[in-house]
Amino acid sequence: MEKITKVKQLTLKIFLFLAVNDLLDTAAQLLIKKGLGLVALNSVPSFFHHLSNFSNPHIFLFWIGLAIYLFNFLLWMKILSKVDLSVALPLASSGYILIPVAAVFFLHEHIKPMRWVSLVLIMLGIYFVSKSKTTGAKP
Amino acid sequence: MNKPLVLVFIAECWITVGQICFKKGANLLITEETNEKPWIAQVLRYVLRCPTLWMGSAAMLIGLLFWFAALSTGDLNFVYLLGSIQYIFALIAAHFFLHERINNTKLIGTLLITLGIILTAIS
Repeated sequence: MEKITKVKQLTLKIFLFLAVNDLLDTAAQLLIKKGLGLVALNSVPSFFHHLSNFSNPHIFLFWIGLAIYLFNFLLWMKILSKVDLSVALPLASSGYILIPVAAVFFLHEHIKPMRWVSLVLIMLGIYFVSKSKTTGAKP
Repeated sequence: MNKPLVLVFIAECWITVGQICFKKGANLLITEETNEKPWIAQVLRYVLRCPTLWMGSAAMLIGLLFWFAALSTGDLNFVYLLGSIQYIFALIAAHFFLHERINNTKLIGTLLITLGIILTAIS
């Protein structure tokens, strides 16, 4: 019963977990995109044949990406066991910030002013959600 | 009827069910926690034998199929824009099924994030 009354607050450790979760998610998406390349998705068997063709070094990127996703799921379980869903989920949206910023720094893409406004809105939203004190949910 | 709208709505419903199952499964994780092993092995062992998490995964998978169906209608921007209601769905579902409190700060934060994503899709 004591779990119900316990006040859960975001700790630095959970923030770190969420940050790692977001970074890995972004990395896994890029790896899978790179690993799949321009595979023609004609049929399911040919797709699996392509994925098990280890003479192609790009395929390893796909499998690394998939392994990261698996690890991320376990990390997400760890995060959810500590914070409310309605807090953890909005905080996981920082990928919307990470990807455009990464695109500017690593890919030298140009971002429209309107995009920056939306980024600031998302950042503000994350700030507000992380500030909200939440009571522990009943299991 | 607007086809992508309906598909995204169904997809988000299933994804929200999945999220709720994940959270319920993760809540039980706390009670099993000990400090003996590395946490990752412990979580993996727990995940493999938790039926709630399996149900959550199944719901997620169904949600993803509807999501892909929505994406295949071709209107990518519109679909991503609609996808941002996920945060509002989760907030409401967490309130009713997980008894999580909705306070003003959380509500404002969630709405700002949703607005931000909608703006990203429009621009």
